[in-house]
Amino acid sequence: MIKRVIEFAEALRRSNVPVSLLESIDACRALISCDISDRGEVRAYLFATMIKDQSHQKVFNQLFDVFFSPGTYDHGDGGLSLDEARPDAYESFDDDVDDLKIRELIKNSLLSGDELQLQSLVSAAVSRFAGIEPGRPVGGVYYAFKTLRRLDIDALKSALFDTRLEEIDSSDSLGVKLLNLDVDLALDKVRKMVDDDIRRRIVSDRGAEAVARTLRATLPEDIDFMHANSEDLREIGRTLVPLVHKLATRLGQRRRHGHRGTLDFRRTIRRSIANGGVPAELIYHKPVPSKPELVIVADISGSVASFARFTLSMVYALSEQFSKVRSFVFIDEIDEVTDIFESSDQIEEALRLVSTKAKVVWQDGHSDYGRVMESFVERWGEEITNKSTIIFLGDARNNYHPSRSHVLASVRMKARALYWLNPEPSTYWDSGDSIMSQYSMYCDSVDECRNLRQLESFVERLV
Amino acid sequence: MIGSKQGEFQFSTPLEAGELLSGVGYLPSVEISSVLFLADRLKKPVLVEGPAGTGKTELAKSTAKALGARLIRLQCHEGIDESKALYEWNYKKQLLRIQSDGSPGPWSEVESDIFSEEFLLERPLLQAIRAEDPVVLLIDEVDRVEIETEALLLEVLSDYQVSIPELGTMEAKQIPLVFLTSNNTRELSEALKRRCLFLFLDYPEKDREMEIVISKVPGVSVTLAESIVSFVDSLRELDLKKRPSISETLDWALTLVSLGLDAVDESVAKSTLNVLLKYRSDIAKASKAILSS
Repeated sequence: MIKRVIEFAEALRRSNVPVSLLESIDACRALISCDISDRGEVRAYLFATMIKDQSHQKVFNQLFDVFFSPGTYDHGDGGLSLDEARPDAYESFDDDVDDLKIRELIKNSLLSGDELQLQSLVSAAVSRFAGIEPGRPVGGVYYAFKTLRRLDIDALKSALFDTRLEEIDSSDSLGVKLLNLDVDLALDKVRKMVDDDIRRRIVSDRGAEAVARTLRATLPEDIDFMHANSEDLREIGRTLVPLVHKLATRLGQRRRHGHRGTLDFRRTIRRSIANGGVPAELIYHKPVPSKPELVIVADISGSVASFARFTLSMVYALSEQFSKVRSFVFIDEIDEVTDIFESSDQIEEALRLVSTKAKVVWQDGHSDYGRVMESFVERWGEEITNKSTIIFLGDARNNYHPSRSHVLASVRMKARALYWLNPEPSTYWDSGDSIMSQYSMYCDSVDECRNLRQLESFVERLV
Repeated sequence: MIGSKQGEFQFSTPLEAGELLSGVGYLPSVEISSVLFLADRLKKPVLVEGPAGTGKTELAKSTAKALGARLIRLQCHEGIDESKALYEWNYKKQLLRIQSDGSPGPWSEVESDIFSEEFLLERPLLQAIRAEDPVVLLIDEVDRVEIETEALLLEVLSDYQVSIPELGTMEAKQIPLVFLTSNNTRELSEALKRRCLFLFLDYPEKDREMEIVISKVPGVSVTLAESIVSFVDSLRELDLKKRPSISETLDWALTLVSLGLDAVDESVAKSTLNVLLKYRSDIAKASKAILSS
């Protein structure tokens, strides 16, 4: 048991969730005092002792399901046994039951709300559809996909919806909408059961440690912008808000508690008059915090668009920390979008407007950094002063156009600082059509910025 | 764990903890009763986080009520310090004491006299430590104190003792249940988090929220409660500035009941949406997403 908790803690640490020694000891102590045949209780105890941040919950759940999956867990006497599940113990259908019938059965048990029956039906469906091959080092996503496709989950959804619709008044449009949500929830339950069942099988096949390694359990702040799917993006978006909030508080505090400035001689003497000319109390100049004026120039072509979105929304959420923020977006033509951000109080809304209103395509809609820089200097070059901090966002993949890096050099001469954030791993720079090094010699720094963690640390350094 | 204090547990099972809470009108989820049970077993404070209006403070209050214990509350704010959280010497009384004697004795005598318990002003943390009767300590909105001040809490929370230079170390007579709440406006220090159990109170599951509505709103029918909860749930799915909390669900349920309604339909929802949502932009968004067809 203790061994399992320690393995679990290790797996959490591998996913960047900090679990201290004390916390794993607490987890073990907690399990001693509880009834370990109840899986929900075990989950609650381990969560309370090992996790201290809500954004780690998803990773916790993923790994918990692997290490303490029902199959490896509660057979027999309710004690925590780690026996391999017997393969013949899985439910299966007789051969004369056809696929349509299976769907019908699952629908009926969803309607009656019989969880146990549903569970065994789903398990049987997995036996038939997933085609699990023992020993293959996979995370099970493909098996789940196969099961759901053969089960035809969309057909199941519409069947369930139609049956439920008969119960209610179909002219009540709000009722129909709520019903729709309800049906979605029920189907999520089926999906989750399929996932659980498959996981149980592969864990008993290969052992929890091995499965945990193939599982992609990543904290939202470590998700790679470039490889994020739409669910990941939503996840990042959700994490961004509290993250920015915390960052703003931290920066604000740093500003207030900043170092003392130099001695204010005049006010010290003035104050000393009260003490008969003895300068008993020294007065210091309040430090004047420098608020940089930011100019953000972002590539919003397909490959790096989501990266630009997150960076822009983070910067605008922190706009109090800067004296002024101007933003430009480009693909092979550049356009200023400062107005869009300033006139809209919701960043999401603004980002949507940017993608529809800004004129960023000139010829073919493939990034052309050189042309864009030339046009930027031509149109707004006059407004770049020694107060402006310029940040370029992009992967520097120029689609084999000329780099025209001398333009960037001239921008650097005028500006206070020039940074470049690249969402690609630094090992990819200068491969293929990436011409990062031609630009990087004119930048104060070029940073790899692949996830929220790196973005946050860059913004903190900037202020 | 401290030997002499072992064996005095408030709850024998998580279920019992849950039942005690429901007994005073707080319906706990499995997580809540498990963590409460665990806090009692391990004698560790509970750090409660979650969106506003999900019953963080209420949990501490109800626990106190369920156990028949006194609630001692420390409301945190920026700039709180030792003298407000732990203890303070009653400076004026000390001054009076020195002046009231015409001829004070030797200094050592005066010193041990004026730094005695008579002149000590107890603040919430010390109060909780020294209490003879059962107490529940609530440290509310702990994320508002500065990082430096957080260190003050550490001694109290891990060893249940307070050191006062003039009097020595005061150990707890009994270990109180401690709740810390946080709205997550900043990251708490690792040291503090390590010492606590973590409980995240999210918006409740559908079934639990229904139970809450039924138990708190007299005269609500089950069908009405169900449609109320699923409507609120669908609002929470949206990307709103301020999502409706439990208390707003209850307000809305009360509104509907007092209007004498028995079902939620579009026009009702539209006209009473302002009970649930507090920003104009949110109301506009919700009507667009859910109500228009």
